Amino acid sequence: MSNPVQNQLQLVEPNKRVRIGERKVVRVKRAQDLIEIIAWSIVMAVLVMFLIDGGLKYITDVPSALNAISRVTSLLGTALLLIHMLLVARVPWIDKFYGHDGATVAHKKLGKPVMYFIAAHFLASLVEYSITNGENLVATLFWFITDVQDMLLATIGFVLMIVVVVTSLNFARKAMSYESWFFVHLLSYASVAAAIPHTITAGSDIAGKPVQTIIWVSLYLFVFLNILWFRVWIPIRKSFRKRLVLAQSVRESSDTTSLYLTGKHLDKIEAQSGQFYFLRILTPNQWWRPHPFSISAAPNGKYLRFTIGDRGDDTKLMQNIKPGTSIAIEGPYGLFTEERRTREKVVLIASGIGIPPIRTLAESMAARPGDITVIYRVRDSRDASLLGEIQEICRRREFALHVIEGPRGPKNSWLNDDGSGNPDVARLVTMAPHVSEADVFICGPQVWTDSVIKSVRKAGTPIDSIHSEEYAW
Amino acid sequence: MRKATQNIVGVISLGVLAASWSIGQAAESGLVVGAPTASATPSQSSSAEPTASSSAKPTPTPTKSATTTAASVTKKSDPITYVAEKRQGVMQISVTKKGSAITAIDIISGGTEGGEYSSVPGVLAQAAIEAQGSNFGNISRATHTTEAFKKALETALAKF
Repeated sequence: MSNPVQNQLQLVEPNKRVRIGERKVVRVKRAQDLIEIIAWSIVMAVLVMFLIDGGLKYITDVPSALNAISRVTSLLGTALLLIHMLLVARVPWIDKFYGHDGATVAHKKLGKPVMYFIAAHFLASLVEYSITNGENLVATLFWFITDVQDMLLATIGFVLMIVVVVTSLNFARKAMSYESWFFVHLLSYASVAAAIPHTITAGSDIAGKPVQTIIWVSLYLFVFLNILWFRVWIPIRKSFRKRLVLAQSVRESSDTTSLYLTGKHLDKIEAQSGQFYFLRILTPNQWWRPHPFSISAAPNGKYLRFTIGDRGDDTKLMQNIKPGTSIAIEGPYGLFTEERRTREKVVLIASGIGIPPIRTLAESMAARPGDITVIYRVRDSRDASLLGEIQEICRRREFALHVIEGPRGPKNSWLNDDGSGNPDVARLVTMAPHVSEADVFICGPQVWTDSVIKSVRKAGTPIDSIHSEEYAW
Repeated sequence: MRKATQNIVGVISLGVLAASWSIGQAAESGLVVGAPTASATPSQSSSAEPTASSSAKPTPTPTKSATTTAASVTKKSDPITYVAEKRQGVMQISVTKKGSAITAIDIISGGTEGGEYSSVPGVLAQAAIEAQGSNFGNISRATHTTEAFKKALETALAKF
């Protein structure tokens, strides 16, 4: 296995058949409904426990009203927090129906509401005790922290939570490197752990109430074990079994490099074309931060290949990893696969470093000549990664390939400026006449992808047939 | 969620919330008087103590009046200040006796805490009438209030 790269491009045998039809979509939607009902039931359950306990019965004055607000916001906040954490536990039964990206997007959306609920809980308690103790807020906070059991920890947890949420807001994310954001985000586990003791010792909805205690402890345990199993144990076990090392890195263009990983049990790799792994380069500096990359060759049992664009920071370092370096992988994840296909015709659209999953799909999707159209948007065809491979695939399998190069056209076009002045939709339909009755797979930067989706929808393709994966982490 | 599912789930949720709200309104408070335990026995030792400390004469008359006349007599307790959850409270009650039996206990000044705790003194009064004295257990999570109530009760009983 000294040189896995062949001069002659070796392709895997394409899938023999694929199940198509609307029923696939309906099945996924039904499963999504079920999962959402379960999540909703958890929120309902905590509200029901609060109400049955007479939570609203004892509101007689301002402090007791604040007490009820404090209780109900802490219950809702915690229920949402647990769902929020489960969404990024990479649980197969969630990811299978929403995709890793869908789950991550939902996770992101829940972040702020969780913080608002917990902040309301914090403030309501503070004001309640200030009134009944007849002291100002600062003195009450000081009393909380110094005198009340576990409240110091809980306050620290709350501050950490604010830090984690604020650093995840869009404007902060843009200003921070992925690496520093990731490090701060790891603190969220500490934040949750710090908050647990006060819910048990001081929480009026858990302390001394056996049924509620059992329900809450099981919820916490369920989420904790899912995280431990799917985010920690399974990746470690898989990585250990495969013992992947970098066999060779090959420069694909001025700013992209392909990493060829070899190891044990590569014939048993579960990845499908279009999926991605998180890679951890096991060097003393880099091991703790994983990065997501799509496989750039359909799994062939000999090597696992990733093509990585230089986007600064760690991806810059990854252009120059020494062969022989150990690499741990977590995955495969993602629904950008033939599983999602419901139609006979397919249009694959990639831009720049979005090409790897499109290339693997073109390699392995079940298709007759002409079923698939590939559109590859590049800056410069002399410096486009994997272009030779995609040309070879399309030549052998007789797919239409359109390489669109050069600066972008006017009016937010996702295509180049061809001088014709035709709108993107018209040009798309010319390149892919069957686009309205095809499954369309799009991979590229988010803004570009959104613009492609607009054109595709204008061309008449229903939303359920448009597949894209957000780079959401 | 699909629209249809959303509607069904929404309607069911409202029903469940309404039902649990009405159960909650009807529910007894979660505050239950425990059984008298070893730690609750001070009722006997302290029943003597406040008598001694309440500078007034510890008259043996109550026994006499109890056996002979059966008129209702009401006495006020001393106000007992106490601290629960860092909040100052004053507990003062009045006890009505008919013969040797405690027939009524009224709260003149009670708990300091709002919420479900506002029902604590009432629960304690009921428990005291049933136990015919302070020999009943604590209300968990309202220990300080319970103790203050027992002290007040004993000062009141000492005045008969």
